[in-house]
Amino acid sequence: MRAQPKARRPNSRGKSNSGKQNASATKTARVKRVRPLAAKQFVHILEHINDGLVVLDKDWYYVFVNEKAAKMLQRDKPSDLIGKHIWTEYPEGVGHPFQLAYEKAMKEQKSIVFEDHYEPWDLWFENRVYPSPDSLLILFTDITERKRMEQLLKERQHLLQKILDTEPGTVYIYDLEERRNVYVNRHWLSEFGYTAEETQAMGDELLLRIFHPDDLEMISTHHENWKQTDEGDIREIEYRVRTKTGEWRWLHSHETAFLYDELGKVRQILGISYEVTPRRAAQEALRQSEQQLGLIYDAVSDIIFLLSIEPDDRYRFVSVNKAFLQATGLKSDQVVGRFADEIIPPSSQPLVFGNYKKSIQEKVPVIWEEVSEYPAGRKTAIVTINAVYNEAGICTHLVGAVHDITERKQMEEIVLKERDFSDAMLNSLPGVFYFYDQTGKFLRWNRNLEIVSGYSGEEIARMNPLDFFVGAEKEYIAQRIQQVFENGESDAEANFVSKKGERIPYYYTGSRIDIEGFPYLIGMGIDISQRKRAEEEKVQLLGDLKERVKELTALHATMELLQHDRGGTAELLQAIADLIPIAWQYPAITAARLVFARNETQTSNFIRTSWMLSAHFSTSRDDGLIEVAYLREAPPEAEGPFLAEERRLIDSLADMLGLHFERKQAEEELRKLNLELEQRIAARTEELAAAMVRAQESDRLKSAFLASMSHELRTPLNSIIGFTGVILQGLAGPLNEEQTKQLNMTRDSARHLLALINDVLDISKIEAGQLVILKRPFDMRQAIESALRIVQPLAQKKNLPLATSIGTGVSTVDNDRRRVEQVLINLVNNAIKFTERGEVSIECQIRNGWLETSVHDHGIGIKAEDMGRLFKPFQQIETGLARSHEGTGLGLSICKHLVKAMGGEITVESQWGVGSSFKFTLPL
Amino acid sequence: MAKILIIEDNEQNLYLETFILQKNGHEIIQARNGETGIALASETLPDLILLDIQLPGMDGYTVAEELRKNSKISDIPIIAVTSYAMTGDRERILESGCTSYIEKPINPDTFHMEIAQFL
Repeated sequence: MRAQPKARRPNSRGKSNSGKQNASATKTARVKRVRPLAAKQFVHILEHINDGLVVLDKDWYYVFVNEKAAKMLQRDKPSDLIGKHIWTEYPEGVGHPFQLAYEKAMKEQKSIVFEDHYEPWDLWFENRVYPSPDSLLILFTDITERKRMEQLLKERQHLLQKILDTEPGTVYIYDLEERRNVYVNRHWLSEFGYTAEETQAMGDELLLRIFHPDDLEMISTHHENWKQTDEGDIREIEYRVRTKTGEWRWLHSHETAFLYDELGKVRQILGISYEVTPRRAAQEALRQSEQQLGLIYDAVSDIIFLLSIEPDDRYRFVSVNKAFLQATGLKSDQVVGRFADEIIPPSSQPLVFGNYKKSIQEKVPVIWEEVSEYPAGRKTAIVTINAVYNEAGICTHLVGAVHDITERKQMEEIVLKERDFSDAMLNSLPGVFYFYDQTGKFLRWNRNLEIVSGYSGEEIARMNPLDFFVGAEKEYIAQRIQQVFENGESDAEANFVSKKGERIPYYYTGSRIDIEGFPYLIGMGIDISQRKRAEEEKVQLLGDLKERVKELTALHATMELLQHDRGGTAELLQAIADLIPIAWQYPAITAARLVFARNETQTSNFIRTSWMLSAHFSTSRDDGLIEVAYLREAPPEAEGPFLAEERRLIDSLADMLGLHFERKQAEEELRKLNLELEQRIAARTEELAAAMVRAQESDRLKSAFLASMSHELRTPLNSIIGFTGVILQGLAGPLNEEQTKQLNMTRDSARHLLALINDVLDISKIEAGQLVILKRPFDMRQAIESALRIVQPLAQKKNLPLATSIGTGVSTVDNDRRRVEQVLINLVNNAIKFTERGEVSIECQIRNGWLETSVHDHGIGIKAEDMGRLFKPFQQIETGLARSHEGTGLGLSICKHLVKAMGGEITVESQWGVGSSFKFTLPL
Repeated sequence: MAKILIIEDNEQNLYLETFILQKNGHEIIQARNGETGIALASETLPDLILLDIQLPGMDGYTVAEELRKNSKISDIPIIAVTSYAMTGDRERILESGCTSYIEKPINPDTFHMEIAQFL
C-alpha cells in the first residue's frame, strides 16, 4: 500500500494539554489578600463543583452528597441520599471492587485513586477516596466518556499498528525535535535488520548510521523544511540507507505531519518508504545510456524528438535531435520548450495529435506515413510515436521518430507495380503459392491459398505452414521443409487441411531461395485429389481385375478339365479342388474340398474353420458339395472375409459341376439307351425285313394266286363259251330250236359265270393293290361302239333301244381302253337291267376339259336313301320287285375304282320311278 | 385265206381256235410249245401268229422275243392270247414284241373278226 501522492491535510490533531500548562507555568504568581471562605460558601462551592463529592461516616451513611454526585448516583437531589446507607441504597455494589477499595481505604487510612467500571450502569468512574478517622470523602468523576475515548484511541492505535505492520513499506514516525524515530513498524525492523530494542537504544545515532553521508545534507534540509511548516501536506524524498548488514538501498519516502507542537508547528512526521533501489539503478543505467543515446541521438539521420505531455492535450518539445533541426531549418531554442502546436503545421495537426492521443490511450506505438511539402520537394516519411510512462503508469512523454522514405517510396511504387504484376501472376496460378522464412512466417502467398484453406489473409499472416497439416503428416512435412532448407529443394505429397477440417490430397514443391543472406522457402502446391482418386480407382480396378482374372482363370481351367474329363471322377474333383485356392484372394490360407457321389477329395491343407464358403450341386442321381475354407480366423466383417465374387465363383463352379455330371450321367444313360435302341432297331429291322419278305412273299403268293386263279378259272370257260358259241353259230352242224334254246341258256350262264369271275378277280386285284391302268391312246368312239356291241344282245332281248350321242370333239383318249369299255359295259348293263321300257342312251361329251360319258335310262331309278350304298361292294339294292337282279354286287364298286384309277370320277343322278343317269369323267 | 400259226398248250383252246379259224377259211399251223412254235414260224412263215402267253416252259414273252429276233419272221403280226394273269401282263406283251392281244376266254362270235384286222 503506497501513500497516494495527493496533497492532503490531516484532520485530527494530536491531544496534548501539556503545552498550555507549561506556558502558564512561566507566569509569576501574584499574591492577593483574600477573605477565608465561610463554611457555607465552601459547601456551596462543593455543592456545585463538576465532580461528584460524597462524604460517608464511618458507618457508611451518606453525610454529604453534592448535586453532581446525586445525579451521578441517579438520585434527583442530594437529600434523597443523605442519612441513607450506601449499601442499602446500592446493594448491587456489594462485593464490587470499589466497595472493597472503600473499605480498604477506611481501614488503612490511605487515600486511593482508582478507576472503576461500574457494570450495573456501565459507567466508568474515577474514584478519589480520602479517608479520615471518622469519615470517608469520595470524589468521583464520571470518566466514561474519557474511558471510551481512551479505548477508542487504544483501538485506533492498535488498528494503526496493525495497518502499519502489514504495510509492506517501512513506516516510521520521526520526531523532529528528538531527531529519532519514535515509532517504526515491523517491516522497518526487518528491512533494516534491527530489533525494536536496538533502535530504542541507539536513539538519534541510528539515523546517522543508516543514512548515506552524501544524503545527510539533503535530509537535514528536508527536516528543517518540515519544522518550518505548519501546513500538513505530503512530501517526498529519495535517499539511500544502509541496512544492519551493510547493504545500500534506495528508499523513496512519502511523509506527512503526524504531530504538532503547541505552536502548531510540526513536531513529528509519519513516513512510509518503499525501496526503489532497482528503479534507481535503472535510472542510473538509463542516465548512462541516455548519455550514450544522446550521442546516437544526434548522429542518426532520422529525426527524433521528445515531447512532454502537458495539460489540455498539449505537447511540448523537450528535446530534438540534430536531424530535426536540419530538416526543419529551425534552431534549438526555437523548438525546445515550445508547444508542438506552434511548430507542427496546422493542417497536419489533427492527424498528428490524433495519433499522439492514440498512442497515449492505447499504450501502443503508432506509426503512420506523412507526406510533407518542403521547399526541397515532396517528402514521404514514416512517423513513429511511442508513449513513455513513469513508474506510476502515467504517460509523461512521447518519443517520436521520423524516417524519410521518399526514395524508398519511389522504389516501393516500382516494386508495387511489379508486385501487382507478380500478384496477378501468382493469383492466376492454378495451385497455391507460398513464400515463407525459416521461422515459418508467411511472407507471400496467393489468393488460392486463402480460398482453398478457408483462412483469411490476416490469419495466414499469423500461421505457420505446419498448421495446414495434421497428425503424422505434420512430422513428414516438417522434415520436408527442413530438407528444402538443407538441400535446396524437396517435394511432398500430403493432405491439405482446410479451416473446416476438410482434407484434400495435395502435391507440394519447395525450393530454397536466399535473399540478403537469409534463407526462404518458395513453392507451390497443386490439388491432386482427382489424380489420387484416379490412382486409387486404378489400384482398386487393378486389384479387382486381378481377382477377376484369377476367378476367370479358375473357371476356364475348370471348363477345360470338364471338357477333357475322360471318366475319373476322383481325379477330376481333385484337380478342381487344387485349382480353387489360386482363384481366391488369399491363396495361402485357402483350402477346398469337393464331394460327389461317394467321391471325396480335398486340398492337402483342408480343415473346417469358422470361415467356410460352400455350394451344393446335384444330378438326378447324386449330390455334390464344394467347400472353401479360410484357414485363419479372420476378423468378422459385415459381409465376412469372402468377396461377393468369390461367392459367385463357388456357385458357378457348383453349377458347372452339376451340369457336367448331370450331362455325363445323361450321356451314359443315353449311350445305354442308344445301345438298347440300336439293338431293338436291329431286331426290329430284322423283323421288318422278315415281315417285308413275308409280305412280299405274300404279295407274290397273292399275285401268283390271282394269276393262277385268273388263268385256271378262265381256261375252262374258254372252252364252254367258245364251243357253245361255235355250235350256236352252226359251225359244227345244224341245230334244232330246242338245241339252240338250251345252248343259248348254257352260253348265257357261262357268260354270267365269266362276268362273276372277272368281277371277283378285279376286286381282288383292286384289294391287293395290283390293279394296273395301262394308258394308251385309243379312239373313244370305237370303244363305245365296241362296248355297245357287247351289250346289244341284252338290249335287244329286252327290246330297249340303245341310243348314242357322241360329241363332235370326242376322238382320241389317252387311257386304258379295256377298262373304259368295262365301265361302260357295266353301266349300260345296269341300265338295261333296271329298265323295262323306255330308252337307254349313251352320251359322250367333252365338257370343261373333261371327257364326260353318261348312261341314261328310264329305269326304276334309285331311292335317295340308297344312294349312299350304291358304290359300296357287295351291296345290292332291293327294288321290291320279285326278281333279284343278277350280279355280284361288285360292279359299281369296281367301276368307281377303275374310274378313279383312270383319273376321273363317277357320279349318279336318279329319280325313283323315273330313271337314272350315271356319269363318269375322264381326264383329257 | 391266210396261214395262221397257233401256239397253245391247252388242247381245248387249241381245238376251239383252230375250229373257228378253219371254218373261216384259214390254214392253221399248230404248235403246242414255244420251241415248236418258233421253229414252225420260221419254217412256214405264217401271216399271223396266235401266241398263248400262259405256256409251260418257255413262256409266251420269251417266245415273242425270240420270234422277233428272227428277221425273217419279225414282221409277222403276233396276237397274244392271255388270261391277264399277272400285273403288267399287257405291257409286257407289247414290249415283248406282240402286236396286240386278245383276252381269254375268247368270244367265239367276235374272235375271227378281231384277228382278221391283223391280216
